[in-house]
Amino acid sequence: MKNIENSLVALIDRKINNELNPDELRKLDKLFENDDHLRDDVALHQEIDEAISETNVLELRQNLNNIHEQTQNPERKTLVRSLFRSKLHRIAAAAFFLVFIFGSISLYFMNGDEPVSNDNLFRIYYQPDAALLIRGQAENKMLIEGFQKYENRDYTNALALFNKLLAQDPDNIPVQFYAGISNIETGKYRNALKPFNHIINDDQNLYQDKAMWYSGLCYLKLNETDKAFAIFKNISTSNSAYKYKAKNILKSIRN
Amino acid sequence: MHYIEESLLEGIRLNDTDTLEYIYKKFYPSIKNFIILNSGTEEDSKDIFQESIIVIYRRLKTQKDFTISCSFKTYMYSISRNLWLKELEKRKTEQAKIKNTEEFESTNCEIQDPVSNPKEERYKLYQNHFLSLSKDCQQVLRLFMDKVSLKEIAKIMGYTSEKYAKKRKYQCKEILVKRIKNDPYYYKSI
Repeated sequence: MKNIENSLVALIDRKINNELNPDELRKLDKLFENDDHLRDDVALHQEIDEAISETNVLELRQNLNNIHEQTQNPERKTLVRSLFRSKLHRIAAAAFFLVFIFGSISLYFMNGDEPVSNDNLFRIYYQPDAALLIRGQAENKMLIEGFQKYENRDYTNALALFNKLLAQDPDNIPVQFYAGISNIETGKYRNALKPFNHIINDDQNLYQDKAMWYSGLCYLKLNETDKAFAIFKNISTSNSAYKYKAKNILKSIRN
Repeated sequence: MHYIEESLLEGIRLNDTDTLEYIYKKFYPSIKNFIILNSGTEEDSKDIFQESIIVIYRRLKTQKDFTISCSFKTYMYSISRNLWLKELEKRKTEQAKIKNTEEFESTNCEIQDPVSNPKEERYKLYQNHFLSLSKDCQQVLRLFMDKVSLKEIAKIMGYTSEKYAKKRKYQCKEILVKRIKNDPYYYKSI
């Protein structure tokens, strides 16, 4: 197991805080002379320290997040409103509603009590997460290429690259997340659960709420309703950004 | 400057929850409509609205004689509009012209300085990741930033030794740095 006290993070932190002895400092400075990435790392650490020293801004951000949670009462949000979020979604929603209304009328004549199927619920609620445009240094070539392919909706090749990246670094949470979405987009719903579960089990990170939401949708698509129900129930009682959508889906889900 | 504008700005400067709640209830819906009308999502609306308040807060902190020459609503809208245009530019959205919502059709407030700079954008990324850390990690890193002694930190956090306090700091810092480096937005911002 790695000794954190001797890690690069610790070394840089000690340098920033002037805790290195002259000998250690000399050795480190020599290393820096020939390594641009190391110098960038020190600059990044310094900037992070500055950013997290802005206690007032951090408190304001936290306060705003709490207020957003309290003041927005998405109980009033309906499924219809959530579908009309952008032009693309409006077009998709319009197309879906045509199919859905036509389907519902047919179902009415066949069986008036038929609830919305899991497959239809998936189609109503699922939309891929926005593509990310990234630019970067040569060392991240594969990462950049992967996201470019994702952005271009070339999910098969994006997934191949994401899987290669994850073989090297399974803790790369954004790559895990977009690998999950790429799996959904290529119809591999069962495979998508693995990266989403990895994210859910990784302490706290910015992708946890999203991973929970999409894993619930995967279970819906796989017709494993009990598991989907348990996940949406969990989301609906949390502070997740998806809690109100989860509440709506729970109303429609088949028990 | 009108009394209402003055009191709202003062409330932001003091991070006053009542004022911020009022601002949220009163102005968030129209900003959200505007963002959604221009290819955004609810999450984008939340982000842009909150960032607009942070922009005002930073101005209040750095410019002692900071005033606004229009209504607070128009000022908020102008900042949000600029921030959203910048974001659309980053996303390379092919949008010929941004659409104003009806209520903001003829209103715009002149903003002299850029609404945010690249450094502030990076800070936003770092701070959001910091706020996503466990409470324990946030607190230990804050205590170190505040130059609290190792002995005190160990006592406050209930750690068995000063050595462990230091170890925990490095662990938390490592998690934070890794998450930032793994965030695709980090590569957009450098």
